[in-house]
Amino acid sequence: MDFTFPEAAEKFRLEVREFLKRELTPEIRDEYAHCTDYPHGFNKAFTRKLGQKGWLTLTWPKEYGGMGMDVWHRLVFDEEMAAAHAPVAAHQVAANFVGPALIHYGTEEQKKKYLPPIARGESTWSVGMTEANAGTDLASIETRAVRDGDEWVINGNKMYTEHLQDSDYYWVLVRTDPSAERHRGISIMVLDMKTPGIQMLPLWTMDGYRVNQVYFEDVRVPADAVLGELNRGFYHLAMTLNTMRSAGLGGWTETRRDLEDLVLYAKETKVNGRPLIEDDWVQNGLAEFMIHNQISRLLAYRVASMLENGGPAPDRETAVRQVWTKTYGQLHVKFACDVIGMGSQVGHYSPKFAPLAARWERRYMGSIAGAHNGGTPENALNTVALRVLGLPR
Amino acid sequence: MDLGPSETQQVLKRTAREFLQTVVNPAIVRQMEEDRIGFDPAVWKQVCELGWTGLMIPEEYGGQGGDVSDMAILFEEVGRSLLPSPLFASGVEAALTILALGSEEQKRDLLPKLASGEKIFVVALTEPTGTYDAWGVETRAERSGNGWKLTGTKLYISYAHVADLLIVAARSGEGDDAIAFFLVDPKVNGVKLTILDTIGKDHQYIVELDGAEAEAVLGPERGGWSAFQDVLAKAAVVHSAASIGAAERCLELAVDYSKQRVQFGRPIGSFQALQHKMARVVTEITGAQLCVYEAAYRLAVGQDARLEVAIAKAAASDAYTNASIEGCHIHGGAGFIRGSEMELYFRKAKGAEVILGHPRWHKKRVTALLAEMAQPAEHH
Repeated sequence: MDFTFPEAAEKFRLEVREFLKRELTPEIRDEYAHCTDYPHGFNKAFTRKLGQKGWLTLTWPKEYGGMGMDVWHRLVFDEEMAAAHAPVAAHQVAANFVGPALIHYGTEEQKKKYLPPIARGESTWSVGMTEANAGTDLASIETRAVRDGDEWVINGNKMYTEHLQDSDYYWVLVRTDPSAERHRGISIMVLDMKTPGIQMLPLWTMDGYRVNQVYFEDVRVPADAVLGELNRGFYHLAMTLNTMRSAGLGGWTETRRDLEDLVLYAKETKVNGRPLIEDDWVQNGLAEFMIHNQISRLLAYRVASMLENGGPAPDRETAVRQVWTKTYGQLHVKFACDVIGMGSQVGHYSPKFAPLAARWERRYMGSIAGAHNGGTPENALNTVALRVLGLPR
Repeated sequence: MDLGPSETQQVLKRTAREFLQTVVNPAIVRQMEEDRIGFDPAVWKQVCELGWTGLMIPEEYGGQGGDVSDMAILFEEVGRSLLPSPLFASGVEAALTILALGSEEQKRDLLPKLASGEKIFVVALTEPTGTYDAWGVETRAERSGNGWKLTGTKLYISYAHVADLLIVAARSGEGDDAIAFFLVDPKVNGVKLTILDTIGKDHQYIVELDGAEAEAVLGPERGGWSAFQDVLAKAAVVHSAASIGAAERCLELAVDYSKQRVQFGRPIGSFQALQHKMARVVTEITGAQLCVYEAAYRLAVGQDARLEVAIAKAAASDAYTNASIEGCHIHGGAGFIRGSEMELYFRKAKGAEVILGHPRWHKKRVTALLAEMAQPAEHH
């Protein structure tokens, strides 16, 4: 039984911390805090600096621009980035989702073309799966690609795509064989965003971030735009989603920081002369917040340790981690708002009366989208029931 | 970082499960609830021969030289089986107390007897207030000649009726420092034992001390309370591991039943309302188990584990209680009839929840520790 990081990873942590202290300038922090387009901060120059270090792709094979390091290095990097609140939107889809997928099922040519720029932090990707009529039931997508000579012609729509307005490539799920059983006629394609016929309209989330609805009108892409095997896209995706769910393992550190700040707030805030933290309900809620955060941390470590031992991301821990994040995360946001009380409704345009710089007003508004990104909370419970417990359909 | 049992511990776990399957089942557990002794002496003998009583005792005192993480792994299986025995009282609580407090001479005298199973020792700490805080120790110790006489009431003392020696916490004055642990032969005058009627029918006793004579003080006359905190921490973690094992069994029972029970022409396990209940239960168990392992690990290597222990006990107790409640609900009528396996776990879960600090008590500690640690962040 061992709960310590390898020494090399802990050394690396100090290096990352040092780097972030230096490079995460007040300007970048400020831009992140006030950026209205991105919930996760978008800064291409900063992403490129990380790419130059090789830190975006620590675990990738060296031949594709990776560092060939163990999972612990990646975990340490993720932890430090999240704790420092560093911007990630310019690279995280490319580095954590598209890249690993390509390594798994891309052709050699595709790997050579797309992976090194991702590793260098030079190319930004978006992912398009959801459509107006296809949410949790992804196999019902309607966007179609029809073969025409050496090209595919795409028509249809995608919904809620993040940061497409700044992306170089668009990874999309399209139907390539309408006659096949619905799971079997789907393929994955890559669209260069310079391709004519892609139109996007902004949608604004309730907390003020931009997502896009996207329309394809006779978008022509070359035959080699297909990633992986033709008509096997849905099966590739199942694997990729599992990889994605085992990414972001360092995210618990950001929540721990939120919690620590809330503890300080409850210590310093007085109600009729008595510190708020002396109230029983506050104590109980803070403890449960802490317990759940501790479990998020340990589940992340467990997933990492199993990946490191060469296994695929473990079903039980991966699926259960989704439930923790999606189900319990919301509870603690609600609790934190309770602690802040009347002030929890105040936004950052009234800074004088916004406790903790309106952080929990932001968290509260973001908590719904956060729980639905990559699958609904109920979907996470279904996965545990069917795949982990083997309950009947 | 593996965050789980080592290979040796996996062997221990497997061996334990195989052995326990041969010596205990729900019918035996139920029979032992009504039994005067409360456990099968033949099985107890085997348990001692397997070295479980001495698992955490160093080899020089006749034990196996294992640590608290080994014991936690073993207790996942013990908890799962609901084995009725004084293993926790003697092999965990008393063994840890003697190790933490006893003089060299006392350790040499007592530990080999405990490890071999020749003697059963039981710690008597809690009182009618039910707290594990120092203020809860109200039993008085008064000097009498060269020895001490104890007066007070101890409550929730498991297997006190089979103890060869009670290790009684009592105070000779005010303050935490005035608490010491006294060795009392339960057969002497002034000790009265009465069985306590509990939901788990698990042989907890009322120990009334009326000027009972103590043979000796275990270790120092002053300062024992602070050394004893390590005992409470380790015992809490081992008991939490037992809760994890029992909760896993509750989940198994619920999953199996819901696959077989057909209503509206379908197995009830195909209904999402029930699926989500079970998905939450496995989620809570998986999380709590990792907390228990981390606390056990930190205690075993001697790191500060105050926060981890409080988290582990709260999470494991909550997970077990909830698994037993949901398990009963999923069984419907079959979950509340005496004689069902589910009903046993439901009742046993209550004792596991409140022993060594109930979840809300531990949550208070979690927050107190967080408040102690909270520092303004570096960057904002």
